[in-house]
Parts: sequence; C-alpha cells; structure tokens
Amino acid sequence: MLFPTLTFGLFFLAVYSGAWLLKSSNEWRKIALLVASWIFYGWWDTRFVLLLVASAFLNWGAARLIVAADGRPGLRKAVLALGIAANLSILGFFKYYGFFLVEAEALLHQLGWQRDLAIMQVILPVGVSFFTFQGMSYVIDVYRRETAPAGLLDMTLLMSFFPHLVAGPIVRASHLIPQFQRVPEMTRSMAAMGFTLIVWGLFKKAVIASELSTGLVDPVFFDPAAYSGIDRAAAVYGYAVQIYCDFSAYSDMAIGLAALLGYRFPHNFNQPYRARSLQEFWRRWHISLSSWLRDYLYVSLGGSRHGLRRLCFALAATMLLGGLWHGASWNFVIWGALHGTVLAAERLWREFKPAGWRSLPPWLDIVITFNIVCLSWIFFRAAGLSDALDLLGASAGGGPAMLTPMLLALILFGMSFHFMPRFSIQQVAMRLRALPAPAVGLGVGLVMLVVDSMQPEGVAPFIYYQF
Amino acid sequence: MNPDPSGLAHSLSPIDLPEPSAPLADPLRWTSLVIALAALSLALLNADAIRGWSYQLPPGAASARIVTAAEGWHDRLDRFGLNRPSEVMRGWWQSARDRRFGGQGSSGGSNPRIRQANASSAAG
Repeated sequence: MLFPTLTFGLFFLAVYSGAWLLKSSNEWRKIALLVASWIFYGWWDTRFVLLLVASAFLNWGAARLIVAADGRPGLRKAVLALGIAANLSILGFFKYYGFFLVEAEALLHQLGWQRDLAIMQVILPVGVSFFTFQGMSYVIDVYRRETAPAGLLDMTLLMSFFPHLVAGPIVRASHLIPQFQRVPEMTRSMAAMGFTLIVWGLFKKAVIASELSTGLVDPVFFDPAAYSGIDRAAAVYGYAVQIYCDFSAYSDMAIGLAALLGYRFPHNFNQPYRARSLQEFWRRWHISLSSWLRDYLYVSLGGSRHGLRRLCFALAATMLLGGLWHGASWNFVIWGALHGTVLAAERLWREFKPAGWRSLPPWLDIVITFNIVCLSWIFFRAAGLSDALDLLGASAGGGPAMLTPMLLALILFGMSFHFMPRFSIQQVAMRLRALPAPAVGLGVGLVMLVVDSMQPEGVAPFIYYQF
Repeated sequence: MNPDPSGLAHSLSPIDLPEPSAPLADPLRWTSLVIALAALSLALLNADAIRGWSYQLPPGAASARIVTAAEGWHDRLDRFGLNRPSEVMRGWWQSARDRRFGGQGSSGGSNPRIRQANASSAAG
C-alpha cells in the first residue's frame, strides 16, 4: 500500500476516524492502530506480519530480561549481546544470505571447487532494516538506562506503527513511547503542519521524483554508454534531486500522517544539499539514521575518545557498515567507503590544516560537497559496478537526447528547495491554521488535484522501500 | 537579539509550531472538516483517477461492482463538466513535457541504442 494512492487514502480515512472515535480509551485506540498497521504491512505480504510481531516480541523480551538482570552486569551484557545478535541474524538472513552465498560460490569456483551451493531465493520484507534498527535501539537504550522498559502493546506498536514502518524516520522508543502512554491531543498547528507536509511530500514524490525517474534517470542509468555527457551529467544531478524528493517526501508524509493521528515524529531532512562539508551533510540527510549510526555504532567503535587514528577508523567503519545497511552489494560498499574516506579526510584536514591558509568561500564548499555526494550517488544508483564505471567513462558524442526543458526546470526547482528560508513550510502551516476549515479543505483538495494531474501514469514505490 | 524568536530551530519535530496567543478553537472538528472537504472536492473533480484506480483492482465480483460504480460516477460528473479541469491540466502538463530544446528530436532522437534502452527501461 503506497502513500500516494487512493487505496491508502481510503485506508487512512478509516484509521483516522477509528482512532479519534476511540479517543476515550487509549488502550483500545492503540490496539486499533496496531491492527491497522498490520493490515498496512500485510498488504505487501501477510507472512511478514508474523516476522514483524516476532521481532517486536523478541526486543520486548530482551529488554525485560535486561531489567530483570539488574545488579548482575555480566548477565545484562549477555542478554544485550543475544538481543543484538538475534536482530542482526534477522537482518543478515533476509538481506545478506543470497549475496554471501553467491560470493562464496564464486570464490569456491575460483579455487577449483565446482559444486553449486544451494542458493535459496530470499524475499526481502519491506522495511526490515528500519524496524530491526528501531528494535535494536530500544534494547540498547534500556541496557544503557536511557529509556524505561515499555509494555508489550507499546513496544509492538512502536515497531509496527504504519506511518514510519517501511521507510522511517527511525523513531526512538524514548521519543514515541511516552506519546503512546497518554491520549494524544490534536491542535490546529499540528493538523495544519500535517496537511502541509502531506501535500508537499505528495508533490515532491509524484511530480518531481517520478518525472525525473521515468524521463531521465532510469533510461540513462540503464545504458549509460548510449548517452552524451550532457545527458549523463543531467541524470546524475537528476538522481540527486530524485532521491532527495523521493525519500524526504516519504518522511514528510509519514510525519504529516502521524500528526493527524496526534503523534510527533522527529526531523529527518534539513536541506541537505546546502551542506558545506560531508559532516554537515550527514547532520541534514536522513537524520534519524545518521544519529542512529552515531549513537549506536560510531560511539561503540570508540568515536572521538581514543585519538585521531581511532576516530578515523570509527568514521570509516561506520560509513562502510552504513553502506551495507542499504543492501548487500559492492556498490553500497563503495558508496559507504567514499563517504567514510571523505569524512576522515575532512577531519584530518581540520586537524592539520596549515595555519594561515585561508578557508574556501562558503559557496565553493557547498559546490564541492554536493559534487562529492553526487559522485557517491552514482554507485548508489547504478545496477552494478560496471554500470557505475560506464557512467563515469567516455561518453557518446552529441547533444542531449533525454534532457528536456521541463526536466531541467525540475532539477533546478528541486535544488532550489535547499536554499529556501529554512522554515518556509512551517510559515505556510502557520497561515493555514488560522483559516476556516472549508477554505483549507478546498485548498488541499485543489492542490492534490493539480499534483495528480501532473504525475506520470502509476506511482513507483519509494526508493527506500527496498531497504 | 534572539535569532530564533519562534523557537522553530530548537524544535524536536517539524510539527512543533509556536502556538498563537489566543488558542484556536475545536481542532479535531476543524481537522475532520478539512479532510472531509478535501476528499469531497477530489471525489467531484478527480473522477478519472477513481475510475483508473478501480481498473487496477484485482478481478472479482466486488471489484466489478466498484468498476461499474466508478464508471457511472465518472459519466455523471462528465455531464456537468467536472472532469474538464483535470483533463485541461493534464493536457498543459503533457505539452510542457513534450517541449524540446532547439534542434532536439523526440525522446531518444535518431540513436537506435537510446530508443532500445528507453523501451527496455520502460518495460523493466
């Protein structure tokens, strides 16, 4: 069930009505939201609802055992290790089993072992990386005594809650569980911001991301050798805009939908392409994942507490594993390695920059950072390593065959979002909340009509559904 | 001077807006009315999308009834000219989509590899 579809619209109308009709009983409200979330998830594949439930039980149980083992540090640590290992096993089986078996078979063939391994086709459950990370963070937070253990219903709803279930933001237990423990209150500010984010997300996904994907990025990345340098450059910058508009659209809609049900989700994007360094980029892009990686991986690997060499190792290892989180592919490894190397280089430069050297002008920092990010997106988007290298290699001559005035305008428009005043969307919502409901209702309906008229036939799934 | 008088820069969530001095009344009623009117205006002005959605439902007795109802709704609104605005907007957008730079042919031009790649990526 995709957000920008009529099926989801009807589903949400039912959930919204049910949730607010059950306002008098928070427990029944949460049960209704949980069932709705399972229906939402089961729309893809009902079997994986069991995986979701099992994963929630596992993390709830691990946290309970950690609390029960209070005063016995060794046992607490052992339960934590088991809980993390179980989560990583789920992730590992669904995401990496096939990849490692194929690689192992290729290696064995090279060593003269000619037998085929029994490679099983494993279907990847939608959003498995998101809900597994969410569960892990809960267990670690309970171990670190940073969050109180939650009840089974709250924990299951935390992991299953449909707005964030398949592509984030990764909402921590400490942020959402306290909200589940009381009946939510709706304000007109929340609702106005919810409507604004939903419509804005719909526009970014259905118009900009879809148009760039079908009209430019997909064809050029499919056979880069057939296209001129202009088309290839446009496809790379187009993909940078597409993935931002696609992924941030999902986050916006998720935050907006949760707001209409009375819940607050955290920030997930903050104009990332205006970053002046890669370090700043990661404070602005997919904030819930980058802060997850920082708090649970980078810090655990030593962070900045053990000298510069260890810090550079922690940065590189975190980004490499962050790349692998996206999937089992050498392209994601290269993507992560590129980010890790540049982050470490930035840190070394700050440390050893000769005194008296002038800093670059801010606009040049932004241009350089953006182009490094775009270079890494080539590996992220290409189907394989050879496709990425083809795209970077010599191009066919001639002018643009795929780039049209409208696609160019969409790339420029998508880039302009990063340089708007930061709280433009909030300013729109602050004006909307003061208007009468009929005006806002008609306005929202008309804007959605315009967006629907502009989108290409059908809606492709969000890019991050595959992770 | 406080550079962030609204407090937006320190909010935990994008939906945390500074509240107005006078509270805005009846938020749930206001929100429900907005949703109802948005849904109604879309049902009246975007019957084409409803019909298209019904065609994509898995075949069956229930979906056949939905298709009949969606087609009936579309035809009824067509008589009042309510499908026209979305048709006109689609036409404008399509003509913007079809515009090319000077000297540029249709998508893929004369390059047979590009035409083949386009066909394959569209199929895939």
